[in-house]
Amino acid sequence: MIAEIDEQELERLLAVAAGAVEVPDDGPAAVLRAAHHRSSGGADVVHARRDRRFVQRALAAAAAILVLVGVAVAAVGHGSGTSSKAANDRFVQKAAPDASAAAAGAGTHISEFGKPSFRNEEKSVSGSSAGGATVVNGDAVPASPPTTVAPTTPSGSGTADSTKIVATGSSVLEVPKGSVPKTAAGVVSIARGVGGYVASQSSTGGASPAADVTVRVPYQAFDETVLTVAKFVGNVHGKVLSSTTNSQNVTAQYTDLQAKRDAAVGERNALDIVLTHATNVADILSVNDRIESVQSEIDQLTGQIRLLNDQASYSSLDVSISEKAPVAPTPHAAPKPRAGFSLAWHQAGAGFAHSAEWILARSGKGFVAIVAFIALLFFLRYLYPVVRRGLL
Amino acid sequence: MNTGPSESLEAWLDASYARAYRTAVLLCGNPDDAREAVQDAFLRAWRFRDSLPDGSGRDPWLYRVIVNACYSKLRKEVPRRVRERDRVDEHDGLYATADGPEAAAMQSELAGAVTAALHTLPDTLRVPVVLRYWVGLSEREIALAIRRRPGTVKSRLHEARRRLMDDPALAGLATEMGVAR
Repeated sequence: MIAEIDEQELERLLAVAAGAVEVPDDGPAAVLRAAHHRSSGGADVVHARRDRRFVQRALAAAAAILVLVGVAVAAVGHGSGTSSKAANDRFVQKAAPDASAAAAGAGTHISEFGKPSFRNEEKSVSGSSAGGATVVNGDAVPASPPTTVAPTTPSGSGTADSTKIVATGSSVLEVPKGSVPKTAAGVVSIARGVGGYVASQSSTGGASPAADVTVRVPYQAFDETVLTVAKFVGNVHGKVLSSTTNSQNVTAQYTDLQAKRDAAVGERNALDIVLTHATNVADILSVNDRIESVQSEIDQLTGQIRLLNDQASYSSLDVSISEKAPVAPTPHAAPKPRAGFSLAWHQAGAGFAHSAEWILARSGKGFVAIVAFIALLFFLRYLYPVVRRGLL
Repeated sequence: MNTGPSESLEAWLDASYARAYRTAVLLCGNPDDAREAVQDAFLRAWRFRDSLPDGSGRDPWLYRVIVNACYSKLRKEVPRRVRERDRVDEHDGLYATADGPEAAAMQSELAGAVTAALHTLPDTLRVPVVLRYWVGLSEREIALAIRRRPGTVKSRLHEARRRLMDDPALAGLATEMGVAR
């Protein structure tokens, strides 16, 4: 038998120990004061300390949440910034080859984009060279208002009125299903609204309806028309797949043609005088042939001048409209075959799942009820006392 | 003792504070901790006075709150070094009016030995011992107070008595004081 202290003896010993404890006289009064303080809205020292600790913990939790949110926002912002930079890089890469074309005098910058409007536009016109250049980039809202650069006075000769710039452009639009006719009509309406006209229009029906519209608009309204078309496409939930504009200064070519024509006219007038002084048939026939040749040259030059005038007065915009192609399902990459530990782990997991399925299938709802009952017992046995103790 | 939270807090304190405070000292081993724990327990009990059980279920409830408050003091709020430094080990003069100075000194020495022996026990054994042999709760009431089964309480009391039996200082003093075994 294990020896142990007698219960009555233990009671006496504890009574001795407890009797030696001096009870503070002001203990009950202190409790009453604390109760009164609490009931009057205050708090005793212990609870004040507890409240302070709670506030400190709440503040620490709030600070931690703020830090996490800040880090997340910074990470997201950094990610989107990288995307923008990548987009800009793509734009620069696409624009770079066109820079050489601009240097060669064509002055064309092409960019493809997925958003239906323009973000940046740059146009430069150099006096005597054929150097008009337009850079167009797509974005939702134009960062700067569309600018139509007034023809600058070529240095050295000529006037502002004599400057001739031929602008052309093309846009490839993608619109929702059934919106092709409406979009084509909208483009025509936009062109007519700025004083332009339809140069050509064609449409294709069937499974993949499309339309091609070529409109001519006054040069001064060309940029505005391109932007308006882009905004209109955005309004019909479409997008501008690509947009190209080309501005070419043809002032020198125009002046050259005029000079040639003036010279030809002068030569023809001189030949007319010679003809009036011709005395024999041979001279008359010879001079007459020459006059006809010069007149033909004058007619050609006049036609070229008229063409340039027309091109400079009315810019041409080709618009290709098509419906959105159905999204092809992205093929999933074939999973790599498992091997070694990964294979064993996968098989173990699959085996466990199959076993659980087997048990569930044969035990039915009873198994679920048993699990729920065990969870309830666990809660009542271990968690509820903790909660209750915290409440007390 | 029928005074409880159904009456006024003052009457309840007059009837129960001294016993509760001595219990808390024996549990915590530190007067300051015991004072705060008892105050905290009475305030909590008063706060939940409407949900307190009546009759025999009231005392276990109150001492459960005291035990929880002492646990809180022991484990969280008071650094261990401070508790060790301020532990109750001075009983001089408490029995000066008993049977003369010599007997009072012996009583104080025995009280110190009992307290020291109690605090050699772990909390899981000390709490049932104090509640059973000082407060006078039954094993079932102790089980309610510490949220254990009555069988667990019984085995812990048995283990605590066995350990106290083996305490040499306590055994010598008890014999010397005439407390028979």
